[in-house]
Order: sequence, then structure tokens, then C-alpha cells
Amino acid sequence: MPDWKEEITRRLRSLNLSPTREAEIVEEVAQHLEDRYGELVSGGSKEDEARRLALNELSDEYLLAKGLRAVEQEAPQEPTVPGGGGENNFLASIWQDLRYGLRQLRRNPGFTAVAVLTLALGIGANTAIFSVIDSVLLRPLAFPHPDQLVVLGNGPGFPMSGPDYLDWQRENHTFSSMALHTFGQSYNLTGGGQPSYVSGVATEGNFFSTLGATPLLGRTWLKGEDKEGANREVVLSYGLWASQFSADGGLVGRQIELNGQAYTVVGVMPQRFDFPSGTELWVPMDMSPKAMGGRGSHRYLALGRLKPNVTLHQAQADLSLVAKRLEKLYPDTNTKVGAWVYGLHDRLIGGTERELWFMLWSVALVLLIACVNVANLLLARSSARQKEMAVRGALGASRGRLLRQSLSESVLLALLGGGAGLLFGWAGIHLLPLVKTAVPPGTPPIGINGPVLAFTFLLALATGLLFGLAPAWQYSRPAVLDELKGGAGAAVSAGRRRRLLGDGLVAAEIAISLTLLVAAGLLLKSFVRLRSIDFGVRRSGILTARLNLPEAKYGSDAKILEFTRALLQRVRGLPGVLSAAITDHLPLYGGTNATITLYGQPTNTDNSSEWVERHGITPGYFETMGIPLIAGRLLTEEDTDRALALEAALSQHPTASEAQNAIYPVDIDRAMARMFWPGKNPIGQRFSCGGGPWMEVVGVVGDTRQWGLRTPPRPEEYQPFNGETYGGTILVLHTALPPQSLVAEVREQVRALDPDLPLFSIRTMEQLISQQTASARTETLLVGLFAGLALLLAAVGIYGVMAYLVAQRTHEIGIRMALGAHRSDVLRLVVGRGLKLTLIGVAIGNAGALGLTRFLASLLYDVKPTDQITFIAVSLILTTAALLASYIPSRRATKVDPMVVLRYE
Amino acid sequence: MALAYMETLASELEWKKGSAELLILSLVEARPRHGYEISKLIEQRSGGTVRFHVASLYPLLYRLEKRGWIQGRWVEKAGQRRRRYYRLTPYGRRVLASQRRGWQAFVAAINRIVEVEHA
Repeated sequence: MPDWKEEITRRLRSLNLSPTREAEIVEEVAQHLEDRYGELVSGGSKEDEARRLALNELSDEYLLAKGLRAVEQEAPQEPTVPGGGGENNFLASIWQDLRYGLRQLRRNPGFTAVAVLTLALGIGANTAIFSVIDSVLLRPLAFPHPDQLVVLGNGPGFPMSGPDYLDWQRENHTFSSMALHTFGQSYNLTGGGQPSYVSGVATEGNFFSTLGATPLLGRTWLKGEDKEGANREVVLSYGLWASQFSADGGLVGRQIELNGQAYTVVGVMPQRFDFPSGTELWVPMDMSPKAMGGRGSHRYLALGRLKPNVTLHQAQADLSLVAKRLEKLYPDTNTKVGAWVYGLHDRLIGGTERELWFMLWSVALVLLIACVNVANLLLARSSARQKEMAVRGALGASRGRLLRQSLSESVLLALLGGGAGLLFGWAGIHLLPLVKTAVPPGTPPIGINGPVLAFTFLLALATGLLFGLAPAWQYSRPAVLDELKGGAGAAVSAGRRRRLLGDGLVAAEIAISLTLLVAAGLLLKSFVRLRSIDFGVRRSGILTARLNLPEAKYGSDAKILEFTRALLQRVRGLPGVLSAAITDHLPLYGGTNATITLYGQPTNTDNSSEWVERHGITPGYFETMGIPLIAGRLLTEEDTDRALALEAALSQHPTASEAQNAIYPVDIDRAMARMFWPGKNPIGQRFSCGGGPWMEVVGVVGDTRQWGLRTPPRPEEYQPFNGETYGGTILVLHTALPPQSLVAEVREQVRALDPDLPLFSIRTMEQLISQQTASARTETLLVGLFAGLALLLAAVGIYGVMAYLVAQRTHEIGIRMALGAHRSDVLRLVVGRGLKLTLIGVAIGNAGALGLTRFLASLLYDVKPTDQITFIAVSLILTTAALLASYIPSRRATKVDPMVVLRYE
Repeated sequence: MALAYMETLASELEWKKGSAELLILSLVEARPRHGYEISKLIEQRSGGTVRFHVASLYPLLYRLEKRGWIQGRWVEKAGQRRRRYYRLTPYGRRVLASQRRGWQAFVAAINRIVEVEHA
């Protein structure tokens, strides 16, 4: 019988089939030839002839292989062992590494899920914070050549004087244009249903062209529209146009009523145009010298566009020169009045920048902890895979190849984590309103966009390399023979190396989380202090609301006074209202101030340059706000009448001696008494504000904080409200009921007096305080959240390492117990080790935190960055968490049955 | 002459490729058969006109098997060596039905063209 198999095998050789498959084909085809041969022989052919004819079935030498190649090579190939050569094709081998890595991850779904989730938390938090940073700090303003735009002032945050501005505009050499505008002003928009209050700004004619902004509909200002008597046009914001006028395309050219006067709508700005932030309409301002006011009156804001290639520094030098010249020309008004130039973008983001970078650093630390955790997981797994790596090394895989295989697995993990992190980040942006409160108004929308995607991708890549390095280094140096022999010596030395690395990582992550926890602790303490500051005013039961009395209707102080008295009478009569008053400034929200001259003293005393806060109040203000009377008496209605009479006399006969000697009764706060009359009785003392009439102190009241919670009380004087309102007309009332429940009734009382007058900015005192502490609350909550995450991750990390330790030393523990060790000894062994690692981490973390919290100082109120109590408390919390995390695996260790362990061995 | 030979060869190849699958599917429709049996039946039923070499039959069987049209199984019978039998899968049955319809339509069309026209 001929040997068909050899003939067939020879023909199949070039296909490199798997041995099993080849054997199958050979058997089947040989069977066929056998059948053919048998048939031919039984049909009478000679054996030689039959053999030749049967072999003819195979046709020529290559036909079978050719036919089979097309079919067989579609079949799944046996997996190639990574690490086994293939160096000639770099890309193909990377692809192979990735596919192999993916299979490995799929094989350990539990490990993969924990690692991906850990990374996703870290990467997600980073993505969310970065998306805020991207949109607040990194995105340029939506104006052409935004880097040329600057804001101008007579000093940092010091508003512009009109006449000074006109001189700057004329004499500068570095600006292509400058534009003046007012602060936001209240406008009563009437004529269409409910009267409403809107915020508007009056601007110079070139305001929009300086910014480079064009309208969505209509036009902006024409030449000459900012001249006296010509300013009755208005440009609306997109928001106002949409909300109040239903986005009516035919509105341009029509008239609307503002503060009782008719204005023609000439244009509507696009939706993204929001400058100054929150402005709802723009009107042209009267740029005539008469309307500009005195040189000493600083009540405008200004912006400028630098000429191309001019730096901020050059512009500053240019304007300083002009300011110096003005100082010489007008010493009365311009002494020490300078020029100040500041980038518009930097001005808009203000103090947010520091906070945001601080947040990013915090989440970066969280990610670092996540990396350490995953590195530890990989390290623990590496013991299980050490043999596999050893085999590969023995088969000739180079160290580099093993390193790359290991790294590609960790990068793969990180990319999966990055993908999931993107989801977390997205959820973070959308679900946590917290993230958004950190954003200054007028910021482009925050979301996952190109730069954020790129950031997340690069972060994931870097993360993968970072946490993959330690285990990769482990893998790439297997003691090949020892591992293969499975000798105890090898296990001990490799195990020790791994344990050292793992221990180092755990100590590091404890140190990092301690730093974060300390930061969170300090912020929390500062926040609590800030919230509980006694700022001198009742916190509950107070309702405040603003009114805007338009000049067209309330042109004289007498009219204003008449209205406010009528309103107070009505409001005081409402059930539940204990007291009510009018003021021109609310506590915490700034004020108007002036320097004072003390009666009978030279003007250049030590405290003559101190500013005093000025308030106009009606009787009942102190009772309403809960500000105590310390000495003397409170202002009364008679004081108001007296002040009004004196003012009337002054305006009629400004030179008459009796008017010259007119004396206003005022109350002052303790801070003012302390500053100007230390050790003396302040009652009866006289002073004048900025050269005005003399005022006499009739009472001293408690201190309040006027310039925010963080600013200590300043000297303040309270004079009778006479209708002049610099800061607005604000109704305040004290009620025994929930303050919000009175809003409708108060509104009704205002409407009864004047149906066109809207009540706006209605806030309780609690809300006013919350607004003040909003950014501190955001910082505290976010950092607290990140620190909590860090604590959790660190605890999981310690747990993992201890659990691994127990698993590794089960045998040893079994022997110890067989030899008489007590459960408590075993507990001490495991927990002791956890404690040791924790204490090392805590020590390093404390040192690190001491160095790092300095940068936190500016965010803290009344708490030192080195606050000992916080450091101690946080160290205790972390140590407790770490002890708990190592106690759980140690309990398992004590349950080891010595007999079982020994039998297993 | 050489050109005429090439044309014949090319058309024969085309024809075989299209119909070979149909022939095999038809032969395993009634019952499972092994490779040699399939090749014998094709030769016998075509009166020796159509023959498959081993080198083309087995690659074709493996291809049909991979497509899921037929399924091969090693079967051992008493006193014989084991052989690989191929049977039609439910999917193959659907493919066969559709190929058969296509073939009949094709043959009918060709016939209508090549038949002698009656005056």
C-alpha cells in the first residue's frame, strides 16, 4: 500500500497549518486517494498504474496548497506568544501587545473594574475642573484682538474722573481708541405689562467700536449721539430683547419707555455679548464737559484698545506721564491721582484664577493617589504573573519587550479609565452646580469640547505610564531561573522587592491624602469662622428690597422723602412687621466714603487721611438691623426734618452765617469713635465730610462690617436720609414671620403708591450672607469632596496592600499559630505593619502639608495655614481610617486554621 | 487556435465555479456523504463530463463548511477506517433552494434563446 500521507504532507508544508488541522486534512485526503487506488486495483489496474492515477488526483505539486491557502488562512490563528520575537515590525508588535493586554484585562474583570473605576474618579474630577479652567482662563474673550483690550482707572479699582479721561484721550500715544462708560444703573422699563427693573450702562459713542462688537440687529451709536440732549437711543441685550419683547424682529426703530422717558431702540446685541457683565441695555452718555462732573469726581469706568504691538507696560508709562502733568496742573484734585492700565481678560477673571489652579492641583493629587492605588493593584497581580514573564524571558523576549508589554497594559487601563472619566467629568459638570458657582459671569459655556478631550486623553496616557512604571520595572527583571524553579529563595527575594515597592507607594499615598485633608480641614475651619463672624447685624427675620425712583417723577429730595415716608408707614402697618426703615447702603455690600475734617483741629493730623463710610438712614434702621446703641441717642424724625431745613437754608443762602453754622445730627459707630476720639467722649464732637457742613455726634452704635465679611469694621457715620441716594434706595424690614412670606404684600404696598415702580433685588439677610460666602463655600465643598475621595482611595490602598500581605503570609501565620501564637499576636503583626506604614506616610504628609498650605493663606480667614489643631485632627482621622483598613484583613488572618494551612503545604 | 483554447478554458472555469457549489449542496441534501463519494457521484451522474480533482474538491468542501452551509463530522463504522461525512445545514438548505431557483431560471432563459425557432 502506497504512503499517501507523506505525499500530501509535503504539499501542505508551505501552509504552516497547526499540527491538528494538518493531520485532519492529511487523513481525509489520504482516505480519498486510498479509495481511488482500491477502486482502480479492483477494476483490474496494475498497482503501479493505480498509484500513478490516484496521485493524479492531487494534480500538480502546488494546486492543493493553493486551493487550501485561501480557505485555511481565514481561520483564526493560534495566539502568538508576546515576547517571542517579532521585533522587526514595531507597529505590529505594539498592536499585538494591545490586543494581548485587552485579553488579559478581560480575563480579570474584577481587577479591571476596580482599576478603571479608581482611575475614572481621578481623571473625571480633573476633566471637570479643567473644563472650567479652559473656559474661564484659557479661552480668549469673544472680541477681535482681545489682548489689545484694557481697562483704565485713576488707580487700581479707583474709578475714572471724566475730565481726566478727556485729557488722557487727547494726550496719549499708545491707544488706538478709548471709551468711557458708567457703572450699571437701574432703569425702570415700563409700558409693557408688569414694570420691571433692568440694568443699563451709559456709554461713549465709540464704546462698541473699541470693543470691536457689532450688533445682531440694527446699529450701535452714530456720531454725535453722545452729545448733550441727543441721547435718547437704546441698544438692547439679546436676553432683554428675547424675554421682554419676545425676540420681535420689528422692534428696531420703535420706542420703549425707560425711567418714564421715551427711548428709540436702534439695535440688539448678539447673545454672547455681555459687557459690562450682566448689562441689559446700553444708552449713549452725555459727553459734554458739563455732564462729565468735576475733576475730583471719580464715577466712570473706561476701557481702551492698545495700538498694535504696544505693551501694557508702555501704555501704563504713557498714561502715567499724562497723569503727572495733570497732577501739577490741578494739585487740588489730582494730587496722588495716577493712571492704571490692566488687561481686560485678567480683570474679568479677577481672583478666580488662583482658586481654579488650586482646585486643579487638588484634583491632580487625587489622581496621583488613584495612580498609586492602581500601581499597587498591578504590583499585587505581578506576583501571580511573575512566572509568565519569566517564561517569556526564557524564550528570548528582551527586557524592553517585556517592559513594553506591561506598559501597554497599563496604558490600556488608563485609556479605559479616561473614557469612563470623561463620563464622570461630564456628569460632574452637569450635576454639580458647585463647579459652576466658581465661574465669573460672562464666561463661555463650560463643557466637554476639543481642548478638554485632548486634556483628558493626554492625562490618561500620562497616567497609564505613571502607574505602569513600577510594575513594569518589576516584570522586566524577573529572576528567570529562580521563578521557573519556583524556589523558596526566589519567592522571598522577589516578594521582598515587591513589598518594599508596595510599602513605599502606600506611604506616599497616605502622605498625599494627608496634604489634601489638611487643606480641606483648613478651608472648612476658615469657612465656619467666616459663617459665624458677628458682623454686627441681625441675621434672621430681615428682608431687604431695592427701589429705583426715576428722576423724571421723583426729581426733588422732598418728593423722594414724601414717597419713602408713605411707603414706610404702609409697610410698618403690615401684620408681622416689627420695624422698617430706608437706607442707601446694605451692610457687607460696600458703601460711599470720604475723608473728614475734625472741628477745631488742623487738617493734616495723623488720621486725616482715614476714610469714613457714609450712610443715609431713616429712623428705625438700627432697631430693624439689630445694631445696638452704645451711647447717646438714635436719630429721629425730628433730626431728619432739621437736616432738611438746614439744607434748604444752605441752598438758599449758602453764605449766611446761620447756614454756615448749621449742624447736622449724626450717629457714628464705635470704630469711628475709637479712631478719631480715643479716650474721649465722642458725643458732641463735630466733624465735616469732604468740606461739607459740620456734623455733630449725637449717638454711638455698634460696629458693622460694610465691605464684606472678611474686612474688619470701618469708621462709619449715619446721617438722616434726605433723599440723596448714592447707593440706591433700599427698604429693610424686620419681621417675626419668615421674611420671604412678606414679599407679595410689600410689593402690593409699593404698587398702591406707584404702579410703575418695580421692587427688585429682594433678599433676606441670610441670602445676603450666603452670597458673601458662596465662593468660600464652593472651595470648601469641592476641596472637601476631593479630600474625602483621597481618604477613601488611601483607605482602599492600605486595605489592598494588607490583604495582599495576609494572603502572601497565610502559610507563615499558620505556622506561627501552630507554634502557639495567639490571635492577638497575629493581629498585632498585621495591624502593626499597617500602622507603621501609616505613621511614615503621616510624618511625610505633615512635612509636605506644612510646606504647601502656605499657598492657601490667601483663601483662609482667621485660620493660620499651619493651624496645629487641624494638622493633629487630620493625622488622627487618617490614622484611624488606615487602622480600620488594615484591621479587616488582619481579622481574616486570625481566622487561619493552622491545620488546613499545613496540610495544604 | 491558441486563442480558441484559452476561451474554452476560461468559460469552463467560470461555469465550474458557479455550479460546483450547487452540485455539492445538491448531493448532500438527501443524506450525509464523504468526499470520495461526492466526487464519484458527480462523475457518474454527469456521465464522466464533470470531474473534480482532490486538489479542487477539498478546498471547496472546507470553504462551504466555513460558510456554514455544510457541516463535516468524523464517523467510524465497524471494520472501516473513520471517514469525514458532510451534511447540509439548515442555512445551507436555504442557500441550496435559492441557488437551485437561480439555476433553473438561468437554464430556462438560455434555452429560450438557443432553441431552434419554429417558423
